[in-house]
Amino acid sequence: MSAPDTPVKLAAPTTAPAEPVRQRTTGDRVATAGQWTLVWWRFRRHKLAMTGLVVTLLIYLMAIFADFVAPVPPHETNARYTYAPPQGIHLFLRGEDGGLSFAPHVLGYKVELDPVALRRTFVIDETKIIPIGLFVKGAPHKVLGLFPTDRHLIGAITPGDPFFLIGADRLGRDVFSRTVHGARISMSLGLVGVTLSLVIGTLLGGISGYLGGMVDATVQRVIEVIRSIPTIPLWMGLAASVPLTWHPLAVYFAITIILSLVGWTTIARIVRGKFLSLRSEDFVTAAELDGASRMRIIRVHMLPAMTSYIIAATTLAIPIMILSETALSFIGLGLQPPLISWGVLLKEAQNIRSLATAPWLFAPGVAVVIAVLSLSFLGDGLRDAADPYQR
Amino acid sequence: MAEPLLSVRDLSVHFERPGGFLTKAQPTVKAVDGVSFDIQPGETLGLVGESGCGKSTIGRAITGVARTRGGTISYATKEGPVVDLAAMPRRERARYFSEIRMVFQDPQSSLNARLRVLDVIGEPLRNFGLSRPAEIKERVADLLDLVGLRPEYLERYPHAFSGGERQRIGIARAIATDPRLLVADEAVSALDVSIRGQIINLLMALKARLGLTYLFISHDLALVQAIADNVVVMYVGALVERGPAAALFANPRHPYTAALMAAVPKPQRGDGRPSHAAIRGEVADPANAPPGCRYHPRCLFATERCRVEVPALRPVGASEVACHHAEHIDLNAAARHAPLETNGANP
Repeated sequence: MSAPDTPVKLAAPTTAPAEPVRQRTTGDRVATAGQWTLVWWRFRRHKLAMTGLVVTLLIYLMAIFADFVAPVPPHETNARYTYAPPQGIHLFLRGEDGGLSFAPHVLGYKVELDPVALRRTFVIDETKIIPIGLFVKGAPHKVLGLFPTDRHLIGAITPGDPFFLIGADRLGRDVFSRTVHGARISMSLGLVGVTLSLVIGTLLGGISGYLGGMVDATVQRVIEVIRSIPTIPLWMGLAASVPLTWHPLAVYFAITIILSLVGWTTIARIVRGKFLSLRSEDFVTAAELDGASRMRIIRVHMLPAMTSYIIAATTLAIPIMILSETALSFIGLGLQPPLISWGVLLKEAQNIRSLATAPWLFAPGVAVVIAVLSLSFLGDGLRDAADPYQR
Repeated sequence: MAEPLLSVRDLSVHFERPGGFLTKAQPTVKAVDGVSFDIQPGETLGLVGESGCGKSTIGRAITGVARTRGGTISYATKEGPVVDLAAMPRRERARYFSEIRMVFQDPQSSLNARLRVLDVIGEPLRNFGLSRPAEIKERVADLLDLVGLRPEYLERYPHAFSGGERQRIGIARAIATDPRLLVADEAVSALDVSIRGQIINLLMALKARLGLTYLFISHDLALVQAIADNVVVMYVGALVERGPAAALFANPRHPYTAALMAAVPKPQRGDGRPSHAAIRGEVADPANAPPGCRYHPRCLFATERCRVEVPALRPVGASEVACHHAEHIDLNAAARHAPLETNGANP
């Protein structure tokens, strides 16, 4: 017997019985996996949806910690840097001896006067080196509104130095910081609006599907009427009736309510349809014969069968809310400054001049696209994974 | 004869389709129309008929799922007094749900995929208060053992089981309440042929062990012949023949019963091969049943009387038959002639 064979021979008796045991535990894992585990396993296989989930989570994290992520406060103006272009981040610095050293920095600006147009233009000044870093000191803020700190995720090491990652707007405010802060309202408005839609939709859809008859017919006709009204004029009409004198927060909630007044219809229809189809399922009949009360049938046997569908529909409704808010604010009927939402920010980019001279003002638009796409992918993945039992 | 466990008299179940705004009212579907039969304690009563004849609806009416329109369902309760289940308000009726149980046809859809086996079988125990919460697990394990499944499977979800195993779970759920009558509505029709025998054996073993009574609803005549003590034959919501299984299968008295039996494929070769179509025409629409005898448009022996007069159920031989001509028609001749009617190319 040769030497290399020995360890194999020795190992064989220990690994052989281990194999079937491992297989049985994975089998048991599937056999005893509940609905949500199965949904998650199925969702995990959907790569695009997983990407959507990660990006969505990042965006919401960014919104929650906006003060920390943004290098400067969003309302800080700086008259010296109106329409300053984006600065590229340089990671390495060429020293006097010609060698490269790791020193992240951005380059400063030099203002030149265009003699023909009599316009100030910014030119990158190669000699002005502004060192930047992570977790730098800056304007004081409170994390989650509780913990005071003056640290920021990224920024110029010397506070006050110009640092415009994606440029500045017409008042010299940092577009990046404003976009980060815009996520707060735009993303939360989607959530709040959808929650409201969910409550109204589930309630009316559930009543409609459960009671049937005249109630059902009435709710369905109301939904049809609401859905047949063109949304933009409807929103415009409703939004225009929000008094200008209201507190911005009140306007925020008014807009949310207006958006969800239309949004609930989709969810109501899904809930009603599920109720109707589940009511005739054998397992619901069986539950009835098992002596389950009406409330128990709905709570234990019907609702769990539709929650995953409702969650998927809700997720798919968030991007619609975000787009609607952006559209309303863009045409000036939604939120107003000083509130910052992506729609409000995009209002700055309404004219041809900004298109020509400061294209970076569209950054909030890019943010909207990313948010909407990732939420849509997430919702699609959830919808596909919603019913792990269908064959 | 002993007092029947369940006695159905003139039972009717109608499905009304009223018109609404902009929709026209549809004629009422008389799924079950004036059906009477008895179920004796301890017997297996086979209920047979084509699809759509109302046999499942009878099962649903007896278990309490479908609302009856007329007639009585007299049930001899455990305590003794006979009650009419059909006349009971819903709440009172629910008390007897635990005594008359149902085994569903489709083991796929009749088990809630989102509940563990423990919760599926434990549901009636919990709702009827038959076991203390702490004892449910133990009782469910016993039930699993009783239906031939491993007790340690109770943490599993239905998706981990095959069709036959799922049907065993469905049976365990049905017998969990110690019922007296089990309505098996096509309980093995959705299963593979190889599994059917096992489930039938299980049902028969449970019957002997627990002293159950079965109402076995099926379209599989060979199966009913094998297991039933008495048989009821239905056609378009009405009863056409009833009697002891042996007598009824040996000597069918109603042309429809004879036609159904002729349609059962028999393994035979050569000239003796039975016809493929022993019955002609289509099943009548229960919303628009023909006048007189409902079977007359398809019957080889139909006369003017059959077209006008509804035949009453009357004893002929060992069975009871709803046919005007039951005594003097030669059903064997009919079975021989049928191929000529429909299958001339194959003498």
